[in-house]
Order: sequence, then C-alpha cells, then structure tokens
Amino acid sequence: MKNARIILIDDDETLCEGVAFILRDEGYSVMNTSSPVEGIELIGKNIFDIALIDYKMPHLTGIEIMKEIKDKNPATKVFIVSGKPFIENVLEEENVSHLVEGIIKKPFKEETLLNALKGALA
Amino acid sequence: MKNKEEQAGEALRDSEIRYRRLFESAKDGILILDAETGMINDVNPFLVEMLGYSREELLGKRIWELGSFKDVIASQDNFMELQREKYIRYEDLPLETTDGHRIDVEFVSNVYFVERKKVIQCNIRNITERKQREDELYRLNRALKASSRSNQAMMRATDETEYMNEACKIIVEDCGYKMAWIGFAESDDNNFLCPAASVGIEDADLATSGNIENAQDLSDNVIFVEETAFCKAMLAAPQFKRVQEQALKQGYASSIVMPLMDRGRAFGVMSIYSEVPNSFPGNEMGLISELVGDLAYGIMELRLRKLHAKIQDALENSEKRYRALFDSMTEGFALHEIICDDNGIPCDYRFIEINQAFEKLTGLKRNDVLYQTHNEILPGDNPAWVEFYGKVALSGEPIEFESYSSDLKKYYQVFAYRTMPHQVAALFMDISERKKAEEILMRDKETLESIVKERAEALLDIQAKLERAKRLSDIGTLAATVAHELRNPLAAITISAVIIRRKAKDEAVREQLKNIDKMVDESDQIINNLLFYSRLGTPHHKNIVIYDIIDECVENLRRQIKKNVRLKRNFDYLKGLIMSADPIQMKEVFHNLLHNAADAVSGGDGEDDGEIEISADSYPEFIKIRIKDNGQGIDIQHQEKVFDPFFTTKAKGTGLGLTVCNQIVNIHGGSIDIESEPGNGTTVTIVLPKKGKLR
Repeated sequence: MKNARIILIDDDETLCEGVAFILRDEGYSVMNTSSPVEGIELIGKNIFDIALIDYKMPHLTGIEIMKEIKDKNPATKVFIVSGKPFIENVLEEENVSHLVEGIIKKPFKEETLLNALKGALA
Repeated sequence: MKNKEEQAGEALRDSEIRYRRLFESAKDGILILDAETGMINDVNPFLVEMLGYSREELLGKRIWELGSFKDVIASQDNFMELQREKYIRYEDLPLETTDGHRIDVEFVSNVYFVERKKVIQCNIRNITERKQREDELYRLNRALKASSRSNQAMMRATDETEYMNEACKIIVEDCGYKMAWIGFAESDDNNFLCPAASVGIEDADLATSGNIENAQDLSDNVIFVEETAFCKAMLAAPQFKRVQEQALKQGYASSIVMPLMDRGRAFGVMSIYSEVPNSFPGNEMGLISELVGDLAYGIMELRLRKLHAKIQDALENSEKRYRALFDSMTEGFALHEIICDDNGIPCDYRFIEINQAFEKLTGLKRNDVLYQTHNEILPGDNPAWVEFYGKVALSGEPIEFESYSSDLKKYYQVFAYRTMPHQVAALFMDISERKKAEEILMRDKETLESIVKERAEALLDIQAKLERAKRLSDIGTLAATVAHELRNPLAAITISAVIIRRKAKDEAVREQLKNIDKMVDESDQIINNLLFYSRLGTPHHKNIVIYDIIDECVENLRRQIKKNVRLKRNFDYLKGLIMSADPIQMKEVFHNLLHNAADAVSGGDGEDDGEIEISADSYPEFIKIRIKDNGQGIDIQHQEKVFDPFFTTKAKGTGLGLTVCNQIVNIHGGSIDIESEPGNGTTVTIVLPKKGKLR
C-alpha cells in the first residue's frame, strides 16, 4: 500500500520534515505540519490511513489530536511518536491505549518506523 | 331483920362501892360532866394517866377549856348538840396529851340522869396501837401495790418519758400524794433542772417551766448535795418562802425531793408534794426511796437498753458496710492466726477469714483455705511469709512488704497489721506483672540499649535513604525533562542520517552514518538508565512472554557487537512461559546486563575468544537466568560496589546500569547475584518469581 495516506504532526520541524521526506521517498502520500492547529484543519479536510503524532506539543496534546482523528475517521491508525519517558503509562492513565496502533519512541531507527507502518497497512 | 329503908340504903352503898371500884379500875378513860354546864365532875385515874393532867387540874373545868378536847367538843355548839342527841361517838379525832403527843381514841358520850340531874359520861379508849396497826397494814398494802406496779412499769417501759409519767402516777395514785414530778440535771454543773415528767399538776401556770423553776430551789439543792431533802411543813421552811403562795394555792403542806442516783452520782430528782403536813415518816421514806431507787435504775436501764439497741443497730450497719467493702474490694484480704512453736517462735499461720479478691488473686478456693494453715496449703512456699506475719504478731508493728510465692508463682505487695494478739490481717495486691516488667527491664537493660542504638541507626539509615529519595526525585524531574528534550534532537539526528544514507552512495559516508547511529543509541541508553534509576516506581505488571523479551535484547545486541563475539543461546527452556512482570523494566534489565557482558568481553586483547552465554532454568515458582561472559571480570575491591549508583569503572557510563537492574529485580520480588573472578569472567544470576510478587 505504497500510496497510503499519512498525516504527520510534530512540533519539531526538522524531525517532521525529515520523516516526511523519508516517507515520501518510500512512496507514501504524506501531509505534514509542525502546527497542531493546522493539523486539526488537515484532519478535518482529509481522510488518512495512518497518523503519526507527537505527544507533547504546544496548545494540544497528541491524545487530543488522536481523538479528533478517530472522530473523523475511526479507521485511521494512529501512532504516537514521542520521547516522553514512560509514555505507555501515560496512555494507560489517560485510558486511550486501545485507540493507539503503536508507540514509536524517539529516537527511532529507520526500520522501526517503516516496519511499524508496514505492519499497520498489511 | 332490917327494914326496907335500911335494906335500900345498904344496897345503894353496895352499888356505889361497886361503881366506884369499876370507875377507878376501868381500862378506859372516863369523864363525868355536868350536862348543864359542861363542867368536869369526875375523872378516873386511867384518863388522868392517859392525858397527863392531874385530877385536880381537870375537876371543875369546862371541857372546851382543855386543850386535849378542843377538837372533840370544840365549842358550846357541839356540846349543845350532845345535849340534844344524848349520844355521840368519834373515832377519827385524836387527843393531844400535855406533852404534845397525839393519841388516837374512841370517844363515846352518853347523857343520863343521876338524882334528877343530867350528867354526861364520856368513855375514852386509847386506840393508837390499833390505829397504827391498821395504818401499817394500809401502808404495807400500798407499798406492795406501788412496788408491783412500779416493777411492771419498768418491765413494760420502752419510752423513758412514758415510764417516768407512769412512776409519777404511781406516786400520786397508789401512794396518795398530791403531786410528783421528775427533773433532770440539764448540764454537768447540775445547777438547773429540766422538768421531764409530772403528775398532779392541775394548775396550768404551775406546769410552765418558769413556775416549776421557782419550785425548784430545793430540788436544785438536792442535785447538788445528792442527798434527800425534805420539808415536813412546807410553809414553815425558810427556803420555800419564794413558793409559799404557790404552794398554798396548790394545797401543799409538805414535800420531799429525792435524788435519782446512778453510780453514786445524781442525774435528776423526784419531787413529791403532799397536802398533809409531816407526810413522810420513816417507813414512808423507805417505800419512797425504794421506788425512787427503782425509778433511777429503771431510767438507766431504759437508757442502756436504748443505747444497746442503738449500738446493736450501728454494729449491724457497720457489719453490713464492712461486709460489702470486704467482698467488693479489689485488694485481697486474709486474717491469719499465728501459730508458734514451743519456744514461742512463729512457725505457721492459719487462715481465719479471706475475701473474694483473695480467691481471685491467689487462685485458691475459699473452702480449701479456711481454717487450713499456710504450710498445709502451700508446703513448698517461701518461708518468708511466716517470718513477715510472725514479726507483725510479735511486735504489733504494721509492715508493708513485697514477697514472692513460689507455690503460686506470683509476686504480692502486702500490708499487714495486728488485729489482736496472735492475729494478723493482710491486705495484698498481685504485682507479678509489674515485677516481671521490672525484671525484664533489669535483665534487658543492655539489650534494650542496644536495640535503641540499632533503631537509632536504622532511623539514621532511613533518614539517609529519604534524603537520597528526595535527591532522586529531584534527579527524576530533571532526568525526565532532559530525556524528552534530548530525544527529539536525537531522533532528528537519526532521521537526518537516514536521509543522508539514502542520498550518499559513498561507503565511507555510510560508515560514518553507522557511527552516528551507534552514538545515538548510546546516548539514548544513558538517558534510559538515568530515567529508570530516578523514576523507578511500582512496576506495571502484565502477563509477558519472558523468552521474547530476552530474545529481542539478545538480537539487538547481536546487531551492535562485533561479529567475533559468540552469543550462546541456552534459554529455550523459557519458551512459552508466561509470567507476570513489567515488560519495559524487564527489557531494561536484560539490555543492561547483556551490554555489560559485551563491554567486558570486548575490552581485552583476545577479542576472538569473546563469549557470552545466556542460559535459563524454570522452576515451579521462579525462573533463573544466567548471563555468563569470559571477559575481564571485576576487581575484588570493586565487587562490593557494583550496585552502588554512579559507580563505574568504564571510561564512559553513568554507573547506573547495575543499580537499575538490581532495583528492578528487587521490586519484582527477585534477586540478582554477581560472581566474578578478575581475568576469568563474570556470571550474573537473576532469579525472578513467576507470579509477580511485590516486595
């Protein structure tokens, strides 16, 4: 599913652009933004197969964005991409573990990311 | 032959002679009076002797001129009555002799004619003795009656006032006196009498205390001298001047005041008043004083009876109170009779009385104790008990002591005192608990001190740990922040390297990118250790497949180490085993231990010989995993410190790896053990329970 639609939201612009570059290079159809607010707009206008979302961002958390995505299209698979220590515990505490397809911990390796996407799209 | 005249004259003379002889020798007194004039014509010698007047003194006198007859024929009026009636008889009018004696007489007068002249013949018979006998009989009868009634009154009496009123009544009703009253000394100085009972006081005025007081002059005196005083003719007595008028009004002529005596001391008086003067002759006094004596005795007896009843009552109350206290008190009580040997030295004692607390405190039953001796009941007991009680019995001094009963296995605190010779009472409490505590305190004083010292040290240790925890918590906050902030750039670096790798075909560049990856890994691991060390908390237990975790870590390691290090996998026993643990923490443990082993084998010169073996055993309750390397080993002096935080021998490293491993295994209820020989490698053994137990 090389043409799968992926949205990428991370307030770290360098990382966000870098990952978007790799994924486009892999043939995915990628929309990316460093602004969570813009992210919400994109989500409102488009349908995505996969969402890669940072947890900690200004104004909005990854969980809030994930809920928007799931409201819009429950089929969208969401990965939380975060360097926050013990993020698993946070998701459990917030009672959203079941909404999450997977956690990709920063710093992550190329194959970790690509394997996770392949797994989700298989 | 005499003629009739002569015969008549002779007969007259004979008659005259016979009359004269009779007149002269008669044993009655005879008076012949001229009935017209009342003049005494003749008197016989018996009367002369009876009255003490001479015949000459009497003859020719008129009868009312003589003192003796003033009551009999006291006036011409009476004489005229005699003339009219021709006969009178008296028995109740005594005559008075010249020397003042009164004689009881029977007085019979007849009027008749002698030679046509009216004469009165008075026959006077002395009946004093008869009168006296009659009087004595009367008095005896009265005394008996009074005495009997008095005795009855005394027997019946329950109330003192009633009894005294009865006594006064006896005096008045049976003894025939006008009035009787009883008074008591009001106070010790006996100066004033308080009226207590009276009979015969009709005048209300006299019954008031003021008037009684007036009548008491004599009575006061009696109390004072404690002798009988009497006043035969009340109105003539000088001390009664004050009450003359009153006495007159009441018609008292004489009185007597007798002390009521008790053991030689007067406590009151009985006062008796008579309307007849000279009313208290000797025999009368005997009766009255006997009655008064009985009265005094009776009053005292009544008071004694009353006192006795009161004492009896008080005694019963006291007994009841004592019994209640005796049975309800918490202290044990025992009354002992001390038994002495032939030399008078106490050798045993007998229990005479015990209370309920005694039974409770000793465990001995009343029936088994009473009237038994100490040596019988407690033959093996401490002889000190006999000594203590014996000492009290001999000295009479109360003592307080503490003693142990070896038979009862108890300590008692005792207060003992002598109640009477050879009897000792004891009050006691069980102080075994206190004694035990004291003994333990004494014995364990040192132990306690050392315990205190230990506790103090433990507290210091806890304090140190708390301080460290606080420090760790600060480090934790810092580490979490730093971790997050560093991981983003590390991720960006990694991604940049990936992008470069995709564009650069040059092998040398690719090699450099590999180094970047490796450095990022190492940095990430440092961050992880710092996080685990500072943020270790309650593990999030899940059912995990431990084999998969170890496998993942081993395979990660394989990718990172040099190809000439052999990884021997001997942990297939764990396949399929599900156990309860925190997967992230478990991954951390094996990641760290495997990297330590890899560091150990890669540091030496003989790189080709590097070998790491991972083996495992499964037991019913736990699993055992060994990670063995043939690396450089740990110096002996470092072996103790390997779990200390921030201890490291590596050129780079935080010194947190083993610390974190140890803590994670510990909080999972397992253990971690390191065996190492410098130069010959290290074996780390981890034991983990299958069911996640929290320590």
